Amino acid sequence: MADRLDRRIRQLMGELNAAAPVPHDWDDVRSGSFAESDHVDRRSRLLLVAAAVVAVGTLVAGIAVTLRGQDRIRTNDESPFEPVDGTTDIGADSTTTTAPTSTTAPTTANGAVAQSVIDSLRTIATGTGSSVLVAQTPDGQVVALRDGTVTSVDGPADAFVHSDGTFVFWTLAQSDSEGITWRSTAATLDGNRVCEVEGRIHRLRQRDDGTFVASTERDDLAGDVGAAAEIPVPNFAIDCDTLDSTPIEPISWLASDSQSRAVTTVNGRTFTAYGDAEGNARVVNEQAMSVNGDDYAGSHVYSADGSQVAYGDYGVSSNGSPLTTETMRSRDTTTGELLWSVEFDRPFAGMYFVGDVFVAELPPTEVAPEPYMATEYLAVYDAPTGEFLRRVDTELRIIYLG
Amino acid sequence: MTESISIEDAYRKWSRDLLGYATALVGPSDAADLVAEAFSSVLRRGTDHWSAVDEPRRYLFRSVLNVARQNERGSSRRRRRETHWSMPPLQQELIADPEVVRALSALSVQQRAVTFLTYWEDLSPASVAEALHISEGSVKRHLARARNTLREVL
Repeated sequence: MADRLDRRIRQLMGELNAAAPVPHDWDDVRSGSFAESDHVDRRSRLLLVAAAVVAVGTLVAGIAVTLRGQDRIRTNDESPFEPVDGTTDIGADSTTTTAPTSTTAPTTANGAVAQSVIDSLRTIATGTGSSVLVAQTPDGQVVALRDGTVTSVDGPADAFVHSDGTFVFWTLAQSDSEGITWRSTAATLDGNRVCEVEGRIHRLRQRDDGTFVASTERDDLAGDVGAAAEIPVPNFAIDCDTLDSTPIEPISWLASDSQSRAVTTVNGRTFTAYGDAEGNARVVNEQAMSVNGDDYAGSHVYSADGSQVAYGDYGVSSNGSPLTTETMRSRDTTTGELLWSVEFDRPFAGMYFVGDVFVAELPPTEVAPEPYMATEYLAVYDAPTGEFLRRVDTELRIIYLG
Repeated sequence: MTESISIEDAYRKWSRDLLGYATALVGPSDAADLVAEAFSSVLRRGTDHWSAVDEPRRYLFRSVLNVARQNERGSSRRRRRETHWSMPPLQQELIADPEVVRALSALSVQQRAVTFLTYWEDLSPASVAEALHISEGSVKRHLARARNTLREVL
């Protein structure tokens, strides 16, 4: 039986090898022009990686989840910005729809939101206690619920979307003979595009005068690591109207062999993630104590006050990480004490702190181990104790809960 | 440094091998781009980095997997129809055997990599581990899971 299986697998590999296409011409590879013509779209998708994880390639997996999952996250590049208040209201209420009173598919500033989606958003908000929710439907529509109001946000179909609860961001890669560049767009939750700049926006602020300033990393300007221990990824504060650019303190660094370092600040607490080529990271607090114990994990999210971390592997680590692929753990970020752990029957797709509750996003079992592809339900826990509270069924993919 | 070869010569010498591998990882439509992007990455790192690489062929296999995994991470956060390795029509035409399509779709990228290197490159678990910079135990786990899946599918 085993021999027959082995023979069939070998035959399978042979068929794949035979189906391999012809290589690109070396000159095209060298110049980067292989991405042009009919390959440009596919390559652009390939190059969306860094944008997708809001980091360069495998630059510390925790950043992406942190940015999409944290409420009022602060980074150490805030000096050029106005103080954080987290309540900036730049929406246009007249273009939005109030969920509880809608009886038909309403029209928002950017299109209709199906009643079933509105109902699902409301169910999630109720079940998780969230007042701000950004999600994506199975059809790819990005929708937001804020204080009972539902909106639709138009973005490109082929881009990773993330949100900080006030804005929605997406980044597209462009490739030409000069190399790879990134272009980011930020929109309000009601779909108004307020900023479009080169690089990857990881933070956007609105000044008192109504203008916007984006904190933006420029991977294309980082250069080669070479023999250096590490090099910073250039970070800029960019005025979204004038595009005036001011260098600010970096928040991430690249090292050789695809290793990286990134600093995240949450409510005054500072966490430094040392990432490897596999996308896993060891995260330490201000006292250089690991906040993920001896567990080597790919993604970390923090409670709003920074006192608690939850982490796990998203099931895409090539080192296997069997202890964390389907296991989520939470620790005290000061003492390192293990607070709780949850074992799922499948790899999970996302995790979020929402006040005193913790939410895990689970895909259908048939799509695991590709957990991002869909959502089946949210598991809601008491954040301090890990006690299971309830299950919320939904097909919406969560982008932000807060 | 056990083998001295220029990046260009490496491309000419091993791109065909890498294309078979990349096809196993992501399918034929994106395989050429995957290999080209891996080499682009090598070029961006510079000749000093390349000249310091031990076992350049294995290094390139690892680079191709890294690009594929990066693609997977990006893909995984896009829309469902774009994230799933769902074999669009072009790929179905390129791979005539539907059983192959079904089998590959059931494996993760890592499992595809380990399976290809084991069954096509004839590498031992230790050599696969060395090539991919992962533990031998991880290789065995990936391979066991892949075989279990393929036993059901094939």
